[in-house]
Amino acid sequence: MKILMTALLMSALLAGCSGSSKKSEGAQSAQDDVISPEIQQEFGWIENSDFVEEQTMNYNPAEDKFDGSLGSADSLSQESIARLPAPKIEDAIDSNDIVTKLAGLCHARKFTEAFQVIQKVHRKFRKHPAFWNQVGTCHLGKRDYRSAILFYNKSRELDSKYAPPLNNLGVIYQTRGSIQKAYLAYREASKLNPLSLTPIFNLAQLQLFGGQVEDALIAFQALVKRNDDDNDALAGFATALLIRGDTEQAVRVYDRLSNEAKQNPSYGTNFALAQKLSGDENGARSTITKIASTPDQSLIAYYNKVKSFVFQGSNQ
Amino acid sequence: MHLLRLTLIVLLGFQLVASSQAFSQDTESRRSELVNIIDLELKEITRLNRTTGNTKPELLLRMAELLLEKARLLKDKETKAILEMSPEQRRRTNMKAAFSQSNKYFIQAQRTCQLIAKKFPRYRGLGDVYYIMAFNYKEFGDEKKAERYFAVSLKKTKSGTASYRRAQLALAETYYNQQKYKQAIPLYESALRTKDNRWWTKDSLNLSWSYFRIKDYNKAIGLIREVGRLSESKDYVDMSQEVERDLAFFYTEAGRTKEAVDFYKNKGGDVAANLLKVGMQLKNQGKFTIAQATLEEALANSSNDSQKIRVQVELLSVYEKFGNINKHLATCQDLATYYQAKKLEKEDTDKLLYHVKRMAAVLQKQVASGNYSRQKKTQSEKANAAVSYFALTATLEPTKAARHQFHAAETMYANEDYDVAAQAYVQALNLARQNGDTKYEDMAMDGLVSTLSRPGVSAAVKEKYLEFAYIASIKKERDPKKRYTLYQRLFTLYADKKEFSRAEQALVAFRKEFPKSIGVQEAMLGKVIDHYRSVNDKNSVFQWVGRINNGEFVVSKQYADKLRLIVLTLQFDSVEKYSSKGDKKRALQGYVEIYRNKLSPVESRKNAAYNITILFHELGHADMTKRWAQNTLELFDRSDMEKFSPTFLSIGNDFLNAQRMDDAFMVYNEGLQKLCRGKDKSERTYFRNAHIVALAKGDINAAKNIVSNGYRCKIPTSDLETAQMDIIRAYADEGQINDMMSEVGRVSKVAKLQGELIPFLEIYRKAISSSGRSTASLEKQMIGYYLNAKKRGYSLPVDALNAVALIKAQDLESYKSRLESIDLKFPEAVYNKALQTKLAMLDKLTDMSKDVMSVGSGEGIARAYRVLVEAYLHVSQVVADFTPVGKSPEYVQSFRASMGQVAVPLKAKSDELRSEALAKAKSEDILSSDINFLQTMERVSFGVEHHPSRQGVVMDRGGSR
Repeated sequence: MKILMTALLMSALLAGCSGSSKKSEGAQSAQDDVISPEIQQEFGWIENSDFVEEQTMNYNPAEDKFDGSLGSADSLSQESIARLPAPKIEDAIDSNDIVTKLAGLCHARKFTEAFQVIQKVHRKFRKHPAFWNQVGTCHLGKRDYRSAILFYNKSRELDSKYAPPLNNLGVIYQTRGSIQKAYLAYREASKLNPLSLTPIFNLAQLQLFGGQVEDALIAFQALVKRNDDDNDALAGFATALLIRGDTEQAVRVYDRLSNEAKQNPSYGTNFALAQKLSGDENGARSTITKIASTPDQSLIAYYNKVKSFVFQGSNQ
Repeated sequence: MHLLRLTLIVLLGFQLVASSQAFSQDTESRRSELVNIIDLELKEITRLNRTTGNTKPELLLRMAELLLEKARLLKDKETKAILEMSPEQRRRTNMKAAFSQSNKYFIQAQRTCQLIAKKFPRYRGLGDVYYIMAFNYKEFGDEKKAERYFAVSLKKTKSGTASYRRAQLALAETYYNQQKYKQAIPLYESALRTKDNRWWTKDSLNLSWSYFRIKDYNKAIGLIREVGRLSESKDYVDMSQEVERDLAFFYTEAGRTKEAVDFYKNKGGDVAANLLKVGMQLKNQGKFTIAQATLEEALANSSNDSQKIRVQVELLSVYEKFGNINKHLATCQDLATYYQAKKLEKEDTDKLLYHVKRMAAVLQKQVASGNYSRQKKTQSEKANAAVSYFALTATLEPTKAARHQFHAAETMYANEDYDVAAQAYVQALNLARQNGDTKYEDMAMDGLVSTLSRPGVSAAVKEKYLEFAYIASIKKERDPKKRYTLYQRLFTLYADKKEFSRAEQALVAFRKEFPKSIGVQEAMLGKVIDHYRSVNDKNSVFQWVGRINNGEFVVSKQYADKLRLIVLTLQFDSVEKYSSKGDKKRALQGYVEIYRNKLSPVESRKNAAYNITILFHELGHADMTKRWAQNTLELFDRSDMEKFSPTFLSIGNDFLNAQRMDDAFMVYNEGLQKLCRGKDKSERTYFRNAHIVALAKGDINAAKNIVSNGYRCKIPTSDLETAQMDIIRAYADEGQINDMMSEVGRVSKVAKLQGELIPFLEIYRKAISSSGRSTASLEKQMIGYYLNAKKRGYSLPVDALNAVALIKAQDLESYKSRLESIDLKFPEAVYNKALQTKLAMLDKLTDMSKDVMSVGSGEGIARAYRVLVEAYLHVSQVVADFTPVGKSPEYVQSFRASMGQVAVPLKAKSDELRSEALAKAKSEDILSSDINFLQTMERVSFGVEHHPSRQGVVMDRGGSR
């Protein structure tokens, strides 16, 4: 009796149930309805393909240099375009190579564009020490030493034997007045890659400034040999000769400077002094007279002494 | 006297006749006839008395006898009239008036006797007079006076006479009636010594009862058996019926029942019937114990069903009286069997039914009252008995069987024997249905449902009846409120049994009947969906949610949101699958749904926000990553942060790489706040990163706040000191000298940092020096820091050594200036003194230079050498160049030759020092412009300097390898 009654009621209850096909449709509908149309629309711009990780740009040491006209512009230009004139730097900006382009933008002080590029490609270059070295250089260009140090260090973390960031840290130290720290950084950078010319150049400049003339002389001589119209190298070489006492040879080297370089107070002052010491009074006076701009604060006292010596003949 | 005796005999004879033929003759007419006869004689006697002037006591005595007899006849008549009245009439009747006629004659008889006793004190027949008076008192119900007057009568009567024996019997009877058996016995024994009177049997029966009363059973039984024997004779009044009746009683009371049985058997009588009578009598007398034994004996000797029934019916009240439930029940059950065999008379049936009902009710009441709740065994026995009684009532009243079975169930329910109760309710239910008794069908169903909901019901009974109960109730029940509950219980039953296909049917049925009961439907749906979730049957969950979404079930918005959340949660179980299948877009949207759902638990929102952050980070969308990272961090507590700190470090680093300094700072700073004072080691990293990024983005104040937080968060001191030094460096880079000095001031008392502070003090020193202000105190401070650091072995950067050395070199230069300022001039003594002073100062200067050189600074060494070289060269030159004025040429020549010996060594010393300096510079890699000076000073007095056009060239690429 109980079974019968149960069956009867069940049949009544069953009458209220829907068919299975309807259930399946409902299940699908439930899943579709889970995400509201608003949210579907709000995030409709996303595509699953967007999640595909961009392939990392690997660092290739053989390609880590400036090529073509950029690379042959001066003795350092395979490594640094810092000393290149603006038109040349524009060439770098136009490069398809991201690091080159970034270097161009940063040296051209187009920082906004530079950082846009960085934001866009930083993931792709996340393992690229040259890229992050360049990011540091952009910050250095803005005199943002802290950020520059941050990214130079990041570059070094990626490749501890990569010389550029260490050299550039030396530049920051030098800028801050820590000559000895800068000297050590350059020297270390030079050790990391003995063929790197920029740390040698920077090291030679400090050596020349600090009295290590013989070492500087060798460095500048090498740079001049590599590119004999590199004014910085020629001037360094000449000044080294001057300090060492090879005044005549110094004058000859100074004379190889471009006219523009000769008019640079840094170079013209010592060229005039060399001419004076070699007996070329007129040449000395002419040279110092042609110096185009007012020397900066660090140079002015020395310039005045030389000028006075050139014109008055006094060596006191 | 003879007349009196005769009249009494006649009257008694009439009485006996009348009594023996009570139902065949007209008693009333006989009574009237007797009264008429008495009246005639009374009239005659009255005339005689009047004639004799009341001087004949015999006449007066006769008149008294007649008056007494008339009074007794009238009283019989009056009694009959009273008995024939209805109870109501009887209640309203004045008894004094009703018996006034008889009473009047009793009084006249009494006065007549009193007259005789007063007027004739020596009358021989005074014994009869007092007898009448005693009899009167007996009639008046004054037993005391009756007893006294019978005693006087006995005294006044001559012993051995018939009157004496009559008086003895009367007095004995009076005692007997007053239950003064010990006083009655000797009188009876005396009066009944001879058996010459036909009334002997009657009076002896009283004597035997008297023996019986004083428990002299042997005499009683012996005498009554004699009475029985003589009753068979026509010479005696037949008392055989009384004997047969009482003998059984005597035997029973004497504990000699077997003899009674034998007696009746021998006598050829109906043993059971007699014992029954005795039993009934005993029962009526309230002697229930004996009555029970007698009746049980009667039952044992019953020869037919009829007797058994009668005996058992009588036994019922006895058993009831003693509360002997077991025997009572067994008797009832026996009688019920007779009932079913249709052997029970209506009267017996009624009695049986009465007993059964009464006992069932009493027992049920006892069980339900809870009085026996602490005597569970007793209560259960009573409950079981009650159930048996109810079963009997159901048998006796088949049309009301459902009701009785229902009560049986109720009893077991009260006894908390729910399993039995459930069974009984079901039986009641079935009986009610059979009888069409809807009332008890409903009640039984209610009872069953209620019983099954009790905690004590066994699983087996639930299994057996619950579903039946609910379904049957739903089918039958018309009350929507009850149906409402029943559907829910049925649903719960199925749900508990995991029979969800049936539970769902119950749900659908409920929805059809109660479509507006949203809350209940939601609860049922919840259970169904929870079930499918628990078995991980996602498809079924989705189907149900789909049915809800299709409107098949109306649910509240809140509930719908909850369901969506459930579906979401289920879906997010598959997020990993989605992700692995590349459908990260859908996963992300789902997480946003969860996060935005107001009903989402905090944990869900937190997880959702975190996953969204990860997905946007993966997507490389910095703005969204930042937004969701903020959302996540708002919800995170320390433990969450500790768990996911590597992830947020990665996100922060990514922001930093993307040059989004503010965003990176937000992540690091928030992370630091969450991890503050915790145990996670990454707290230091967050601190350092936050601080570095704050400085990198040029927000020194933010960096300072981080340091403050660092102290609060107990970041290691070394990290805090490094951070503080970085802030000082940042101010120095920015040229904010005063701010820099403020920060220097914060850590100036930290001994181990003092050496590192010197370069920054040097920056400040140069600044105030250029403004023409005194630097003396600052220099003193710097020297103090230097000495302290050196003494304690703390770090002293090269720049610090340079600064200290150059400060010390200032004294050297100053001293050299003093030396140079001393002029050599004559007279000779003055000259000599000045020269000696200069030479002494050179010595001192040489000593002072050692102090400068001892600092260990390349620049200091170079500067010290330069000062020494210049000083020696100066003295050498001024000595060599000095020419005394106003002296002879010979003197001058001699003087200069002499001074040349002084000047040349000094020049040589200068050259030596210069060479020494250059060699040292080369060997120790000293960089100083002073070295250039020393190299070129012979050719150019001011020395050649090198000023490159740029402060270092940055290196963009690695170049050749």
